[in-house]
Amino acid sequence: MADKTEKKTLHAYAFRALVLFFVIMMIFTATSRVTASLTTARVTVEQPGERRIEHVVNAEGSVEKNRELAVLTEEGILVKTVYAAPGQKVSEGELLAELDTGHLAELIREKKEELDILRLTAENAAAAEEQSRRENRTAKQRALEDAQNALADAQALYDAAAAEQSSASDAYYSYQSAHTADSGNGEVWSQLLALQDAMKAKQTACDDALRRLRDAQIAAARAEADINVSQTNDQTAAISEIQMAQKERELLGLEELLKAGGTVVSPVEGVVTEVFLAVGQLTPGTAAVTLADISSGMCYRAHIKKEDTAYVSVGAEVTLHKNGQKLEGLTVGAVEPGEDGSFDITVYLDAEAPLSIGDAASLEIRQTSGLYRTVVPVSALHVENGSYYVYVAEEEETVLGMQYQLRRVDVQIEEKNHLYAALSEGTVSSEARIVTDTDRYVEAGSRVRLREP
Amino acid sequence: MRKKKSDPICILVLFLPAVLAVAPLVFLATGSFMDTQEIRDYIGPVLSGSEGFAVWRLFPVWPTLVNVVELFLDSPEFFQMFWNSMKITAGILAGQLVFGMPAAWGLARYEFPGKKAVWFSYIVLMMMPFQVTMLSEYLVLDKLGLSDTLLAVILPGMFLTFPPFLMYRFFCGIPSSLIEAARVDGAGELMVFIRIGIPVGSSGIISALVLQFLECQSMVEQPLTFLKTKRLWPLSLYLPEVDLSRSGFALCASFVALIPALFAFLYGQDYLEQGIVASAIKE
Repeated sequence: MADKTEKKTLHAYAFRALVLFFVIMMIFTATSRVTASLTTARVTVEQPGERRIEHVVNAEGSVEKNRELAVLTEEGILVKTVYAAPGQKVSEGELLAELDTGHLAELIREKKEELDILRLTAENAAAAEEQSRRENRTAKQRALEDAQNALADAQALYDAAAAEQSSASDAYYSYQSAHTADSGNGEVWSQLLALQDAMKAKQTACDDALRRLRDAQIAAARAEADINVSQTNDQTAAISEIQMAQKERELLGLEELLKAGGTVVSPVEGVVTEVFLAVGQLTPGTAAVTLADISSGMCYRAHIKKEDTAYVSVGAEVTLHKNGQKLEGLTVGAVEPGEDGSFDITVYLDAEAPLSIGDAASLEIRQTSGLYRTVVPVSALHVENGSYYVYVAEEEETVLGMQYQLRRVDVQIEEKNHLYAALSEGTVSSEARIVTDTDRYVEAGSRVRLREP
Repeated sequence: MRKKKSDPICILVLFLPAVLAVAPLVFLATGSFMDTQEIRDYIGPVLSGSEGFAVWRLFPVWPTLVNVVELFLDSPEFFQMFWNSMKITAGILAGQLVFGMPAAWGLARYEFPGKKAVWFSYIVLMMMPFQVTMLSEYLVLDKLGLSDTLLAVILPGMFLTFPPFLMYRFFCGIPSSLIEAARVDGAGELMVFIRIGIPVGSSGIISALVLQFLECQSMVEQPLTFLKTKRLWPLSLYLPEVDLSRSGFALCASFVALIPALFAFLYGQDYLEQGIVASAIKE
């Protein structure tokens, strides 16, 4: 009986436990569904479309001078007044500075004195040179005469020595031939030796005379050659000439400046870029004032990043914006490397352009590509190890019914801007639902829900 | 009556196989509270073919509730399939009550021409594996337009022959005198069946239902053959979908899937014993 009661209790408990289990499972069924809906990402999808990729390059820059020229004046003149300032627009002939005319006149006087000194110095130099030339010529002439006299004397001595040598030789040979039979005779022999010694002595004297004659001939020839060698010119006079010419030019410049009242005027219409004059100081040897020449037009310069240069080329259309005004029809004149890896764009402006040097303006360059058939928003792209991929939401049959599951598709980017990216043809179909936005982290295989468009 | 004292040797001999039989249950229960890394450390040689032997601990070194939380709060698919299993089971059991029970009563209590042939066909059909009748069932269900619906699994299950076979034994055991007495009292055949047959034969009925319940919970081939839509799959098809990287979760899901069968068994244990005894008694 107790067993039966026990069994009945076990049955009841088991049944109740089973019922309770089913209730718990129902509760957790609902809970898990709620949790799944909370954790399931909601994504926005778009299908790839046809589009042209437009690249817009924006940059800030300013209008600058196109041609700069220097306004020169004489060096070393005291500056009385400076009227020009950097950035000032000046017209042709406008007064830029005034120089001290008193100091100018003093400088002119000094220049004239220097010129006189140079002139006198040149004259002295010329006279000294003439004198030197004359004396040199006389000395050479005298040397030639002396050499010719020495030559004549040497010739005479040689002739005499030759004659004596000939006599001595004749005497020896005639005595020898006359006393051939008496060659053993001591007296004859002594006489022969004496005649021989005399002949030898005369020979030696003749040789000496000949050698002296040769030397005299050489000396005479040299003296004659020296007559023909011209004297080196003294350049002092020429230098003085040049210096005088320089002084005359300087003097002329100063006189003209004085005639103009010591004023420095602008030669063209332009904008003062730099002023190198200071009141009370002397004018420099370089430019007094530099001007941006407006008459030759202006240029607009801006800096762009290196990656933007792919969309900018010489001749590309440019639009400038300033205070709501639009200036169209311009083109890129030059693209050059700048500082810090950036690039400088130059746009040349006509003189009639409604902009002034120093004005700030923004630049806009638009470049539109060809038509791409598979274009997606840039927000759809993901990057891993330098490669791009997108997530495609595909409907799959799951235990919970048809659900969208993400599949990763690696893609190649042909071109992109900050909004759209053109993918290589064939990577995704035109009907593919590409995820462009999601409200939480997703990865390949994630179950997602599509947001209502 | 005094209970006979248990023989210790008998207990010992029976205890060891009992431990072995319960071991998988313990394995599931403890594994439900282990994380995947710990499970991989223990049975890695089995799962991934690494060197060494598989081991197991009764108590996890790093117990965790992550598998339980993931199962109950983050796995709506598990519940979808759980209720599919319950629908299939309930449908089949209801069908057995409606069709199988009267069939067993008729075979047990009435004589009619061709009864032996019918009974013989029941036996033959009971012994046939599913693969033999699979194609014919598929063709019929497809013609009926029931393909890829829960009825494709429920309808054939309603007409399984083993439950009536089990109920038949119990209905045969009802004394004829009891039935005759009811007839004498004016009860019709239906009344006899409802008022006497079902209550007296309830043990057999419940044991048949319990066994069928357990059978339905582990049904794999029929859903795999007749159900294409994953939304209709029962729990028996979910667990093989869980990969080895979620071992802890798989063990937890298996343990939870086991609970209804466990309660059903606890409830119908006595009836099962009676059913097994009854089927062993020769006529």
